[in-house]
Amino acid sequence: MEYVLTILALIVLWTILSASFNLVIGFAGLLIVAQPLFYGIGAYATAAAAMFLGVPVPLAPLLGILAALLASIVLSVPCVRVSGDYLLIASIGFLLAGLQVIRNTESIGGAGGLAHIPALFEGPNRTLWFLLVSGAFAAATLWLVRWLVSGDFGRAVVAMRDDEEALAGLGRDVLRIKVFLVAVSAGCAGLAGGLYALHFQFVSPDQFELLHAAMMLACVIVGGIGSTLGPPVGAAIVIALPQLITMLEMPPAVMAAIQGMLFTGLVIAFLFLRPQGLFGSAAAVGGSRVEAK
Amino acid sequence: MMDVTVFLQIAWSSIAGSSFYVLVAVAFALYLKVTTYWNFAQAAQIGIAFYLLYALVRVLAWPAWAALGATFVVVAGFGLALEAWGMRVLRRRNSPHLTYFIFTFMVAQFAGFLLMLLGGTEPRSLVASLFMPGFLVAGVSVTAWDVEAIIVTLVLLGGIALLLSGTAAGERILAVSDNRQLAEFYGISAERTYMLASIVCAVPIVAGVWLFGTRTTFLPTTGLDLLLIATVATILGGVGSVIGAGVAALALGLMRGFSVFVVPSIWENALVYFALVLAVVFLPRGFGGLWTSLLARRRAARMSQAAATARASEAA
Amino acid sequence: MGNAPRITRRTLGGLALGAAALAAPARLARAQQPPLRFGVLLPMTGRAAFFGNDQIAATSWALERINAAGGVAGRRLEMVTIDSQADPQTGINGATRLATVDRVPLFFVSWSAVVNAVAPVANRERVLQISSGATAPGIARLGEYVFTMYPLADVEGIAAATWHVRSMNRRRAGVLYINNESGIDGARVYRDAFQAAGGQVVAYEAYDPRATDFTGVLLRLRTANPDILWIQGDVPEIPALVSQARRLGLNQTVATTSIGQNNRVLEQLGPAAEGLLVTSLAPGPQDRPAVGAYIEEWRRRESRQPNGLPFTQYFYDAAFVAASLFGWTLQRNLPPSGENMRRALVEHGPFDLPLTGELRIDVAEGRHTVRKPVYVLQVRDGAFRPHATIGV
Repeated sequence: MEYVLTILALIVLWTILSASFNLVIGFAGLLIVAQPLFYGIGAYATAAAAMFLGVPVPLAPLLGILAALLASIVLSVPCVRVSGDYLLIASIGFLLAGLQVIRNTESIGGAGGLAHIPALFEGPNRTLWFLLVSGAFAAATLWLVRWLVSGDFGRAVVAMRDDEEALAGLGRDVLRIKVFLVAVSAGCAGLAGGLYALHFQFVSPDQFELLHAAMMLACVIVGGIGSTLGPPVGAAIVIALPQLITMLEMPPAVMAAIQGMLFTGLVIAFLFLRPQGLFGSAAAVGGSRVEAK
Repeated sequence: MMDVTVFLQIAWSSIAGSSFYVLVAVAFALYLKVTTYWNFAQAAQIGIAFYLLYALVRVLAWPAWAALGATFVVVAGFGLALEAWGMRVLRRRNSPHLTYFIFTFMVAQFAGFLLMLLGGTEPRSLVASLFMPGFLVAGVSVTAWDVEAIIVTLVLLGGIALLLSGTAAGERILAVSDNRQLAEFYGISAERTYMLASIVCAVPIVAGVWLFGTRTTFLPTTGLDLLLIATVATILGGVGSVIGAGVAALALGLMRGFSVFVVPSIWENALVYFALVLAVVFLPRGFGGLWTSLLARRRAARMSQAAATARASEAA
Repeated sequence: MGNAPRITRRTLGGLALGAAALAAPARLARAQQPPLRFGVLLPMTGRAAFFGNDQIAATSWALERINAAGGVAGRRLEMVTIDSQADPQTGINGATRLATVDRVPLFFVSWSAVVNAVAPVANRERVLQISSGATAPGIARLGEYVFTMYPLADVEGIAAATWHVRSMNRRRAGVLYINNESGIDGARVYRDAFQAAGGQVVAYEAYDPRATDFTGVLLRLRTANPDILWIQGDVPEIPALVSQARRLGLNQTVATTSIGQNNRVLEQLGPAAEGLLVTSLAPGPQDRPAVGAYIEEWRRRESRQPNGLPFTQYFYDAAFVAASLFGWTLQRNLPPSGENMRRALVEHGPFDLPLTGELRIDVAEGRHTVRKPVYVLQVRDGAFRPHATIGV
């Protein structure tokens, strides 16, 4: 039971991550893949707040959100002026440089990571409680994304993605919209990181590598890019599938390779056979308009 | 702290040690120039090249030339397959750049896992012993590998430059990369040109992998590591400049070699990533672009000065 | 790992069917009782898999031997293996599964990041976690249920540094370390111990795990002119590093950790390996004849030596530790729960293990460590030869 709850808890955290990632990459069309770093900064800041600053554990994730949000501003203010692939590359550089800074900072555990993080919940039902709380935050994140991409602001976001210059021509401050969206997305990732740290009680830089951006992309693509319902389904598939594979009678030496091939193969198959993912619109990866579901 | 010999040694070793980065960066930048897509699937080609070379040279004991030839055919064939069944489909669908990124990145990851399954996870090299005795030239230790690496890199770079500037195929590549619609209007098939570019890219990739594998050990994840440096070099060199990417890869190698004398060595790697972010923000067209714009500005200044002189003399 | 034995989680116990266990009817009755199971959480894929798979093979051979000799009080001993990929999160999932699905009371684990990451699971679920190959000094303080049977970095680093100063009369050390967790921790221990013993660390340089050219850091070391070079590195880059050091005229003694005791290093370095000093935390064939037989078993079964011989010795012995702990609880008619396994470990006293000798685990709270002799080997004529033994 505990094992299943642990996997469900990861699915819920990854729902927050992929939904907020989808806000930036799917709805706003900004190729920023530094989400694992914001997740990591949230985790580290939360842990540090609870361990070193005496912040009460339930309030510590607020510092995680704030730290991730600030980090996103450091990235987005100078970088969103460039677009497309350049933004992608800059965000990869930012992610890798940020991780190197974490690795080289001894006061937060350096490359070895930070252990002995206090837990949000104790006792036999801790994972169940964690699941309920993080589930509520995941639902709130999905609602937030849906709210942001609907109405007047949502139309501006989609218009910005489809034709940025036209939107600017209408007098909207495109830069401000971009910075705002990246900050919201990073704040959500910071929250997920904070929750992660307070449940699993250990964080290390290896948990926030570029590969995790690929996994988040997989959640978004499989669930449906530019859809609000897709990320939880994508997260469930991407997190649960490898665990299900371990149940099979398979030599362990080939298991992880098969797991990896399945998750990457799944994304490639979706890209070609069902580019809209399970819940996205067909136009989403075809370069045209995406509707909020 | 640093005497002339040390300076020359770092310069020489960094130049030789950058050879595979230069070749991979050139392949990456060439594909980008022609198609406008960042092809991270080249990491898969790098991985395939290494493990195939390993199987042919170390296991089957083929001579190097035959192994290199066969590997080139397979790597180029993989590139063509990727073009025909992957990139072309996405182009027909008018997919955004994000889709190409996801596709090529996932192909690279998929290949990494597949190679892990087939080739294991042990660090492997293409030679039995990595120990290379050196000989001293003016106090600088030089190995046969260094000389081979530099010669191979120069010959291939020269060959690619010649292909691009002096052959009909090169003209087609340049025409499509400059303006695809216009090139097609003049009867040049863009799709065929992309295929041609894939084949050409296989040459520096296979050569780069050979040099890498004869100098150090390779893991299934090494392909993406190499490509990351190639990406930084492409940005620094200026997108659209193949030679610029090669020069930037060399500059990065030199920067890493000398950086330990300036910053603590634990920051050596972070330096490359910071350089990448700064380059994107402040020099999105790379140093090549900066150079071009400086030249243009100087030319404009000269012209306006000439115009002003002409106006002054007219007024007189 | 083409030659590695293929072991599935569920069939592994099948390997352990020993004829002796079935010899007597009473034994037969006991053998029909459910098997005793412990977990092993190791990287079977990923960057560290070439170590992990050999460690699993070693444990499985020990299980064959234990079960052939009648198992534990006549009951078969089995292991459940889970792939950690040397990744903390995969490790957490694996440990949770071992504790709550497979319900093993004890599991063995390696890789410092994984050992750290899964410790809260072990403490919470009250499952005994024994680290058998990780070296991060912090492992000594990971909680009530987390112990180590492998000496932590302080044992190896302090012994090596002190020995370099006092016995080899080296006064100026150059330290070169990989910029990751094990490199940073290990290098710091060595540096502090070298200075404490009266030596001077004249250069202290890191390199990136992905680096291929080390000229810059090596020349900085050369400029500092150390009389010994300590490398706290990893298998993939050690050959290139030593090769480049020699080529650049760094002819000083090169010493490294037990990571360097690997045949890959010998093969890839060729003649440049001559004189290389490696420490080992497990005895060699000259110290214990059983180790010679064990190496022979590798030659017979796999036609090679294991990757990271000393680490596999500890994983071989891990099965005997498990057998002793299960035996202790069965003898006292205690159910083999995590709590009782911990109690068994605390009250058991020293273990006499076939390949690593006597094991005394310090069970005092906050310093769950072990002290072991450190063996120094030197490469001579293309092979690791015993050079010295540094006592506890």
